[in-house]
Order: sequence, then C-alpha cells, then structure tokens
Amino acid sequence: MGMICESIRIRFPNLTDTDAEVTSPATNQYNCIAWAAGEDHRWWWPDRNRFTSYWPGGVERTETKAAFVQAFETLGFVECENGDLAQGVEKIALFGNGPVGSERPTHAARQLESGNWTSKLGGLEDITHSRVDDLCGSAYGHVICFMSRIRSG
Amino acid sequence: MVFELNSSNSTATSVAQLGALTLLATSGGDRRELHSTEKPHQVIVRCSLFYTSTVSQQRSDGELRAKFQRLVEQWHDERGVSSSLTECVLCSAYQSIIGMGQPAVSLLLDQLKSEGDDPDQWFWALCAITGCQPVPEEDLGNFVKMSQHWLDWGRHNGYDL
Repeated sequence: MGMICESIRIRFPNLTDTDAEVTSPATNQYNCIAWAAGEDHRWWWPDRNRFTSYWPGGVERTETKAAFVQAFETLGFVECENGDLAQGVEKIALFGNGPVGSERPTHAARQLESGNWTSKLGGLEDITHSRVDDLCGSAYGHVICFMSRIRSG
Repeated sequence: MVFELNSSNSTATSVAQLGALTLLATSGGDRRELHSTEKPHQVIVRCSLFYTSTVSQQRSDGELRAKFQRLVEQWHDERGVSSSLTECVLCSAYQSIIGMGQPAVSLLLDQLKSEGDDPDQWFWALCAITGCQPVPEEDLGNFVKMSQHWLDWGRHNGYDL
C-alpha cells in the first residue's frame, strides 16, 4: 500500500523500504494485540479499570507476559520455540520491555503464510516486515515469546 | 428602567473588584432591560458584572479549547506507536487533559464527535473525570460503539452535542 513514513522509520531504525511496507490506513479501531489475534474492530488491552479496552473473559487484567500468553491461549495458541516459518502453522511474537522474567508486554506481531510478519503500530498503520526483529528496539523492546496454533482455512 | 450596556463602560473596572456579588441576570446580550426596585447604581453594578462575566467566560472557553487542542496534538506525538493503554494515558498531555477536570468533559465529547467513525482513546479520561462508565462490558474496546455510548451519555446529561 505504501512506503514506511519517516515517523515510523525513526522509531524502528531496523525497518527498510526493501523489506517493509504500510498495508493499511492509520486507525484507532484496533491495536497490535487485536491484530495479532485476527481482529480489526476493537482495542485489546488488560486495563484494570475496564474503562477502555477489551480483554478475554477469565484472563487476569495485568500487564504481564503470563496474562498476555493466557489471552492468546483462549484463541488456541500455545508457546513455541521460535518464529521460523512452518507449513500450516500460524505464529505470533510477543514483544516486551524490562528485566528478563518480568518484562512488560508492549506489542504483538503475526506471521503471514509468506513468512513475513504483520504488525499494527498502536493507533497508526499496519505494516508488513520481513523479519520479526525489525521492530526490536526502544519502542517495543524485544521478543519475549513466540506462540503458535494450527492455521485455519 | 432601561440600561445601555457598553463594553467600554468604566463600571467594568470597578465591577471586577466586586467579585463577591451574586449575578441576578439570566441571559446575555449587549442590550438588556432590567426591572428592579433596587437603587439604580446597584442594578448597574449587577448588570455590568453579568456583562463582564459573560465576556470573560467566552474568552476563558476559547482559551480552554485552544489549550485542549494543543494537548490533543501533543498527546498524539507522545504516544507514538504505543498500544499500551497505560503508556497512552500516562503521557503528560493526556494527564493534563484529565487535570483540566470537569470543563474538559464537553471538550472531550466534542472531540469524540468530531472524530466520527474513528474515535480515539478519550474514554479513560471521561471515566476518570466523571466517575461514570456508560459503556457495557460487551462493547469495551469497540471505540465506535463506545463513542456512541459516551455521546448518548453526554446528551442525557445536558451537554450540547
């Protein structure tokens, strides 16, 4: 749909025009967690006060890796070793910041059948990027776990 | 008695020093007809106080709206690519909007309305300021529906939307 704009490039210096592109208009209607979960109509986040965001029922509303993993488990994902492309398998990567063992989740990306990754950048656009590490850095931290499930359809 | 109001009326200066007076007038305008058994100078003082108060309020509303718009733009820059609700609402600009208190409610509702089918995350601020949550659990996260609930709430609570 378009090239990565300067405001995105500044935040993710690993992204290049040759391996990343914008694939949607900017919108507030969903965020990266929703997009990784396959939704594009609501904002997922474990806000404790229930002021703003959707979060799966029965999953603790805390900003912890465990809570995010549980949220994706409600969709059939299980933790896996890596983000390598595997036939018939859909993978997501969960990003986080902070000390090992107590990282605070910041972002999720979903692997496409091509092996590329798709990410919704907050209230901005969706992008595709060829390497999951393209988004590692000060904004989203690093990948704290991968999850997978059987790809449907 | 008929009194002519004039913005250059020197009474305005002295009225400004009479902040403890209670307003009697109920509507604005440059020309007002007041009937009173009070002494003329008392009516003039009260009438002028109303006038200066109205002008001052309009200026104040404009300043408040301008400040709000600056904070909205600042917040867009500050939150960047974050999906984290916590990070978004802890941005200094967002906190400043909440800090504006009750006067920010009508501005937030106007903002939601102006954003149409792509409303932004003003719900946390609205909840925090008003102490209300008109959004049912099943619509949390759906900003379009949440916006509709808040605009309905605003109309129901007397906001001009």
